[in-house]
Amino acid sequence: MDNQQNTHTDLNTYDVSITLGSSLDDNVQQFRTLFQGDDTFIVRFLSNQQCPEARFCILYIEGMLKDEVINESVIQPLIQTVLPRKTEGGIDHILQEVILSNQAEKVSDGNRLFQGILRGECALLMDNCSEGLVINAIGWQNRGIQEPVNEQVLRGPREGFVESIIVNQTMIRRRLATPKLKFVSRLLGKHSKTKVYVCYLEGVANHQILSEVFRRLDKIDVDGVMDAGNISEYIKDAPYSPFETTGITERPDVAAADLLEGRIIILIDGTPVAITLPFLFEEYFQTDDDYYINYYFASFNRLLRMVSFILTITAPGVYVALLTYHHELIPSPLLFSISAAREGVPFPTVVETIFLLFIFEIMREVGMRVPMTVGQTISILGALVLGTAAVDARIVSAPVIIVVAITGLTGLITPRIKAPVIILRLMLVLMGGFMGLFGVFFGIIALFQHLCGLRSFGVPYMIEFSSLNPSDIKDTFIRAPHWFMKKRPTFISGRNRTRQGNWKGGT
Amino acid sequence: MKKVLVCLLILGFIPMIFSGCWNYKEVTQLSLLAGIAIDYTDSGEFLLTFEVADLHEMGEKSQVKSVLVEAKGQTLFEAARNVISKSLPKLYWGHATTVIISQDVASSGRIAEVIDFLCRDAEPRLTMAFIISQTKMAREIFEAQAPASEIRSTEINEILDDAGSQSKIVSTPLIDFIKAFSAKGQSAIATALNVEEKGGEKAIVNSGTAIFKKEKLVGFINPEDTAILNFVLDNIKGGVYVVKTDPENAEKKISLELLKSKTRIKPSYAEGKLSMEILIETSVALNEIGGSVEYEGEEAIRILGQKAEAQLKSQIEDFVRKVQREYGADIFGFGQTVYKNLPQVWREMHDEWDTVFSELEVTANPIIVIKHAGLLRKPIKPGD
Repeated sequence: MDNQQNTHTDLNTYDVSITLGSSLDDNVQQFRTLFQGDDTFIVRFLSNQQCPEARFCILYIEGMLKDEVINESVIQPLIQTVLPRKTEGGIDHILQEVILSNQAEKVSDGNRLFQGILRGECALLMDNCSEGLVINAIGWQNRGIQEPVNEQVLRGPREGFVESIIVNQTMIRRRLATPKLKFVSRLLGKHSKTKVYVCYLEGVANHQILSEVFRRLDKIDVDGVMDAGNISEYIKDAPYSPFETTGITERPDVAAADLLEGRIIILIDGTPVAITLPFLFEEYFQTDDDYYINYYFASFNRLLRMVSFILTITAPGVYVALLTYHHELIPSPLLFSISAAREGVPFPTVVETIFLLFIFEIMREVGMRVPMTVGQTISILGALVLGTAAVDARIVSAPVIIVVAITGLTGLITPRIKAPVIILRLMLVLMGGFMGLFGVFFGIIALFQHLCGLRSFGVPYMIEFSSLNPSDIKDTFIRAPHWFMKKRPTFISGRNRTRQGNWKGGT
Repeated sequence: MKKVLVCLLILGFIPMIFSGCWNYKEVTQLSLLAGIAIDYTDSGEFLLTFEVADLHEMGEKSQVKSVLVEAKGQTLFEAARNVISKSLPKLYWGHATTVIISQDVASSGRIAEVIDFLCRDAEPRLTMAFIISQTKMAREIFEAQAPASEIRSTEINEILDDAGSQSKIVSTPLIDFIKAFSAKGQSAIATALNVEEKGGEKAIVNSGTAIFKKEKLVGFINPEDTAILNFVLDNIKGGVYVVKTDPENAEKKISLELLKSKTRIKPSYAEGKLSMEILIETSVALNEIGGSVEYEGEEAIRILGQKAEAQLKSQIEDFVRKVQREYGADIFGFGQTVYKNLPQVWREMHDEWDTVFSELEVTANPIIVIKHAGLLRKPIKPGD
């Protein structure tokens, strides 16, 4: 307990100060003390061939640099260049005439040097000089650009964000070559010092939303930020709601399209997931494909997703309600066969349904966690043991299996809304079991009240479904042709609303 | 804040715990009633026969069987509740499709009791088929064979569903019966069923229509006359109409398929005398020629149509006269028509409507349009 307490205070008060003096050895010693016990910290002394009294020291962390860059652009010139005799205050000379690097700056603050080393930059100190250079030759290994597994498309760009924020930033920049595209950086996390870019299109993004984003980001006070999930939980509205009010994407084309709509993107170093905001309910049902494929097909798919969402939350609840309260609503032959199938099943319908839903969720989670090689075993277990055997043994009835299967299948079509769906589904089953269809409908009314009360950075969550303005709803239930969407969504974008000219497409 | 939350939680749970589940019933706790037959016992009590879907012996098969359960009681409700003592769960009426009433019950004038019981309770549906059995006991219908489905009530409903393509059967759901039963200037009718024995197997057959006068069953009319009744009641949705083209040669017949029919009853009042005109417009298709009837060209077709019109006219007029004479029951709803079209006249006459009805002058004016003659332009004749 004591130990933990100590570590915590230690973490919070870690701002150590390095004061650069004129003695190279003293300066280096200060860094050595800070990095004590860390064997990856490399210190390399060098001196010039012609003028041995000009001594330098390079400080960096193993593996973070591109070795050839440091060797050829820093060490080689420092050793071989003919230096003027007077080296005092010559760090400017070094920066301007010796170092062959595009990213180097003079720094007098020791802590800035220290941070640079931690982030993988290289610090250069010089004897008789109380200033140093930070040279950026970051060269660690990155994952290559791949198609994101979670957001695959039928047609459309195949590249996805990677863990490096610099690469991610360039991917967005490549798609929007305009000076209006702004990246504002922030460092988040006391220890992680994670670099975060808030990215927006000037004149298109809404300034009120933008300043709200900065206000919330600046209030974050944590020790580390690992992923978009960390940040979005801090900045989202209605923190207790299961519904997300910030979106995520792993695709630069989606990010660019969002920027063009006036949305704001937050890129976070170290994760391929970017945050998009404001995020509205409708976006759960939109995919990138929708905008790349034929709009009839896209609209059909979108309606399919919405119907599936309704089915996946209501199907088990309605089944339970019908079977335990409203027998008259089931067609006679169906009731006869359901009744026959339930003959001998010892549990009430509610218990049976919840039990099977629970099993289904376990199967889903197992499928996520288990190594790929065991996947086959799981499906055999699920299909045979839980399906056929349970029905034969009269532990559950066949209709419930069908209902749960429909529920599961329709739930998988909109994977992003999974968390609220599980909660809603269970709630509706309980309501249906307690109060029949009345309960189910009370639950749905409560759901709508909750959804209509939510806001994402000041934008009402359900505005696209409740708006009567035709220009707001042409990208909701259906995806209208691109030449229909002449204006940006009013509720998101700022003053500049016109997207395109008047040409209707065709010839 | 916390207190408010706890209070809200408690408030939310109270309705669930205290009022929830009040009507909770698992399907397996119910006996699914398919149909009910109402008879008298020898001692004059009600004898109810319930056809209950039997789901206990179903394994992989999807066939549903039915069992018959009997119960007696002084009133219908008592009889219905007496079933519970027979080790069956409570009967669930929501899926009952058939009520069969024996001749005895129907003609004893206690039909109002039956209707009252069926309408007062929340579970039975008003769409149940309302049937009068021509057998001695109504339950005999449930004892007949049901080739298409294991449940007789379902079988009966399938017969009634076919009414559309038959025209020889009337389908009277409970709600229609009640409307006619309680309407002024109209007598009720109901489907009549019988059981026929063929080679040791009993089968349910359509036996026309049961006719009520006031609350009593007064008689039955056969399926052929039922077709004529359907013409008057504007109930024709399909079926066959057979025309004899030559009075001397009974073999010369043509079959007309009824495509569409519309009937209007036009009352007229002149010089203290009420008369009815039945206007029928029917489109038909020529479907079968029997006994080499000569026809060729539009003119021949028109003559055929005229023959059919003449036959239908005399059939309707004869049938109406028969009903007027034999039963004196206004099953055509002429009184209703007068009430709606000539309210003044109705006000004068409604007290002695029975006498007025039996002396009413009724003329029928059918128009039959033969739309097409199928795929043949001429009848096929034998060559040399």
